Amino acid sequence: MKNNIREERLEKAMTQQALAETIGVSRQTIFAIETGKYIPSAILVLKLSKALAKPVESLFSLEKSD
Amino acid sequence: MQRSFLLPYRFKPVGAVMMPAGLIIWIWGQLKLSQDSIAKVFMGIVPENAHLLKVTILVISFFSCLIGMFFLVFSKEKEEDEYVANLRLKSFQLAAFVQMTFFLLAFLYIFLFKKELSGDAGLELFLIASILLFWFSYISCYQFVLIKNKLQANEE
Repeated sequence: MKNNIREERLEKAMTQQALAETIGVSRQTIFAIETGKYIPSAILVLKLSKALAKPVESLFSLEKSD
Repeated sequence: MQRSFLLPYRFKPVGAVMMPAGLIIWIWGQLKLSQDSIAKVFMGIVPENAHLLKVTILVISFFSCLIGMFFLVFSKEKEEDEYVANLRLKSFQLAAFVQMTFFLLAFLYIFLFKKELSGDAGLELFLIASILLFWFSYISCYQFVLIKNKLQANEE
C-alpha cells in the first residue's frame, strides 16, 4: 500500500512533529508511515484523514502486489 | 487501545544498566573469581566463607541480569503507540523463530553426532541458553529497528 501523507502534510505546511502530536503518536511513527515501513491501523488512518482534512482514498491507495 | 502489562518508562533505563552490568559481573565471576582471589582481597577469610561470597556474587549478578532484562523488555517507550506495539510483536515472532531453529539444530546435532548432554547440569545449561537466546534475540531486533528508525527520522 502506498500513501501520499508526506505530500499532503507539506501542502498543509505541517511538520512531522505537529502531525504526530495532532493524532497522538510519535514522530518516528509518522516517519515510518511516510516511508512505507509501517502500514497504519484503520484507527490511525482515520485520524490521519481527519488531521489532514482529506478522504482516506486520496491518502492511501492499493498497489498491484496488495 | 489497551496496552496492558507494561511497566512505566522509568524502568527502561534501570533495566538498560542492570542487565549488562549483571551479565558482565556474572561472566567475570564465572571465569575469574576464585576462592584464592577472594582470599587475597579479604585476608584471613575462611575458605567456606570465600565460597559463600562467590556464590552470593554470582546469584546477585545473575538475578540482576534477569530483572534488568525483564525491565528492558516489559517497560513502555517514552511515546508508546501502535507502531511500537507492532514492532514488539514482530520482534517476538523473530525471537520465537530463532529459538525454534536453535532447538531443532541442537537436537539434530545431538542425534547426528550422538553427543549426549552431560547430566542434569548439561540439560539445565541447554535450557537456560535457549531461554536467554529468545530474550537476547527479542531485545536485539526490537532495539535495532527502533534506534535505526529514530536515527533515520532525525536525519530528515
